[in-house]
Amino acid sequence: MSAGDDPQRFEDVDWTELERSRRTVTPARAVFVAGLALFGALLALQAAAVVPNWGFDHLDWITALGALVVLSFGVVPALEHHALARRVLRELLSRPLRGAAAVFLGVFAIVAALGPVVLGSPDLAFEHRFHAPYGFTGADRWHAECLGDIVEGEGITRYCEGTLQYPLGTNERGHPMGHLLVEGASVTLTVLVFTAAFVVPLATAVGVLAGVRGGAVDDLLMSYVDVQLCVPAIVAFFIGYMYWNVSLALLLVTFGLLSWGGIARLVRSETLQRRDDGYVLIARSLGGSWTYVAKRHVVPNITNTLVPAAFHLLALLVLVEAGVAFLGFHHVELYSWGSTVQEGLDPEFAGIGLEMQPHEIWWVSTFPALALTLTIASLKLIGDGLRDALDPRL
Amino acid sequence: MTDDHISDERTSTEPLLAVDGLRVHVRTERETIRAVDGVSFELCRGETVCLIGESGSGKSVTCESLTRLVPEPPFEIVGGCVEFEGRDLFAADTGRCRRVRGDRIAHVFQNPQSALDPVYTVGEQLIETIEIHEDVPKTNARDRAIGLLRQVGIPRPADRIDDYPHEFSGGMCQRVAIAIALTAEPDLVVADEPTTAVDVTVQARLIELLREVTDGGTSLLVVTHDLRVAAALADRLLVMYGGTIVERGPIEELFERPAHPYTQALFESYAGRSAGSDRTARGDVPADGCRFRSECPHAVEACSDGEQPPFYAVGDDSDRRASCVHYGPGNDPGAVLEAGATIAEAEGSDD
Repeated sequence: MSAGDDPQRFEDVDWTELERSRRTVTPARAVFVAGLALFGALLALQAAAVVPNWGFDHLDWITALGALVVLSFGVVPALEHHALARRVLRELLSRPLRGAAAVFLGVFAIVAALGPVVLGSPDLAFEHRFHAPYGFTGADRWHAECLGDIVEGEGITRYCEGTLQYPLGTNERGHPMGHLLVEGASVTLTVLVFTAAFVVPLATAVGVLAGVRGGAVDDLLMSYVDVQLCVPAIVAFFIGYMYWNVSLALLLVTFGLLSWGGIARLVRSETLQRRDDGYVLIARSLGGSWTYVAKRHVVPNITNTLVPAAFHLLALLVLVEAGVAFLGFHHVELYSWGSTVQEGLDPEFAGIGLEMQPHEIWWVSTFPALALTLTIASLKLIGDGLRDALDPRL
Repeated sequence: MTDDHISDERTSTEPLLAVDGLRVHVRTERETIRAVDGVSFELCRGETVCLIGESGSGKSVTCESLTRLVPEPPFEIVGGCVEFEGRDLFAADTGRCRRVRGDRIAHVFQNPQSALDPVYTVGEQLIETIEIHEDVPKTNARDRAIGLLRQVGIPRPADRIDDYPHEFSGGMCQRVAIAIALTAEPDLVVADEPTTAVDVTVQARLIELLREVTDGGTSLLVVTHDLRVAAALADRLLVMYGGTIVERGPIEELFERPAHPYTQALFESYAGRSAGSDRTARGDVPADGCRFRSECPHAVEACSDGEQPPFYAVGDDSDRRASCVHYGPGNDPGAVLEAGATIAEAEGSDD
């Protein structure tokens, strides 16, 4: 191929055509489009009411769409670049603490995704309420029926021993704690999927766009972020709460879509530094478009800021969801960890007419609180671990 | 590419690159800086031209404006045109401009350590460039990448190709950057201070490498403030000051007898015996007239008139031109030329 043979050579090659064939159909996009088609079919089925009494609500659709985004733009590229994915995973697992966090989150994700499907909704079993976990005892006067042995205590007090039927005990409705933990995990997973699929990409896109384009685009986007940072998400949530049914979807939309300003700012400032780096200039000097440069060079180079910040946001939103549920602003059929903790800490509030101290039913609040703590700690550890694993210089 | 093909092109009258009246401004909130203020030059096939001048004289902005690489904003190309093989690059849409970049005109930049993306291996970066510019399968691209690394003098290229840039030295990074620039076999390589950030021994090897590149018939536009680099590479010199070109000419004559007072001052500073060595740092470069007049020992009233003076032939040589009123019609350049000769002599005896 001689450069001098034909001065018009670069015009003969149809570059747009070449680029399109290289870029348009990627496995990620194929999976995404296939998923969308499947959703469309399901939506049509639901609208036509082919299967009676079956249908998804808003939250299900949001979660499904989020899962599709994560699958097609997270999992599929990871499988495509399996060498890199394997290296990152190996590095993540090589440190005991981070490895434990990764394993915990993996188990958490599987349990949260499959648990509710396998177990179904927990049944009310008031006769079995406040059973202690296996190996512990609880006051016997609470239950109509004690499943374990009854132990005599001082005076007239009698204690009911926990049994293997409810290894982690039960709450005031007789819901098994293990089952409630799984339900809470599924709520948390919804929050994580929503944040990872919509909030983090939005923050990244806005930050990179503002940083790369600069000028008026930058001014406009960053002024918007400033305005958004001034709106407290909780106020927006309560206003929504007044007018619509309380739902997890409302919480996700208000908190999720009002909380990304910080990351966008962070990403923008990092992008501003990267856009002047030599390799960006070289990529552009070789004919790369700004879109290409942003995707291929800017985003991979800001991961050491973006990844920990994104995982921090994930942890934060999990905590916010639990906190709001703890305050009681949650859908009654969603057994969030936060609401379960609240039930355990304030038994009288539950209106069951029993007098008891929170420490007497410690298992109701402790297990979900523990699950919450472990999840948040794991998220933060994985955030740091991924940052280190993604940076080849470390 | 055959040999007579090159010579054929060398004799062709149409220049490969023609820059005419290029003006680039930087808009900041407070003021507008005229970074490049009316630069015109031509570059023929196979020719090496050096753009020399001090920091801030607009050399790099000129280079990066050729293919519209300067970020707009804050930069703004306000005037002039760049013709590549007779086609106006500024009139072309961004898509075509991007196609010219890399494929026909390649850039090599300063600061080799940041020239390569730290998150990809050297091989990944080379192979990607090869795949974009030539439709070749992956294994061939890898072989080609190894070949390119060998060509630019990386030892054990087959082993080093999977290394990350931080495992390379600065000089090696710059070699890889040159290899990347060469993947598409461009007609013109624009090298912006390619040797500034590396030590002297590496500099020498890089210069050798760039010379090999031009031996293949590729044109080279080198920006430097190092006269030794210019002397080693250039066929012609363009001296820039304050966003304008003040002198141009073949290298031997220009070195022998710098004509413009700024060129003389620049050469003098290299010789290390500046006449006014107690000179303080300059204030603002004036925006009209001769940009150098406030420091020029030969400044006269006419220097502040109008724009940067036009190019007047120096002596009988039509290739030698200086933008100085003393070479204008009716003026006697004798005194200025004499000063230049003294400097060149002093420098010559120094070596």
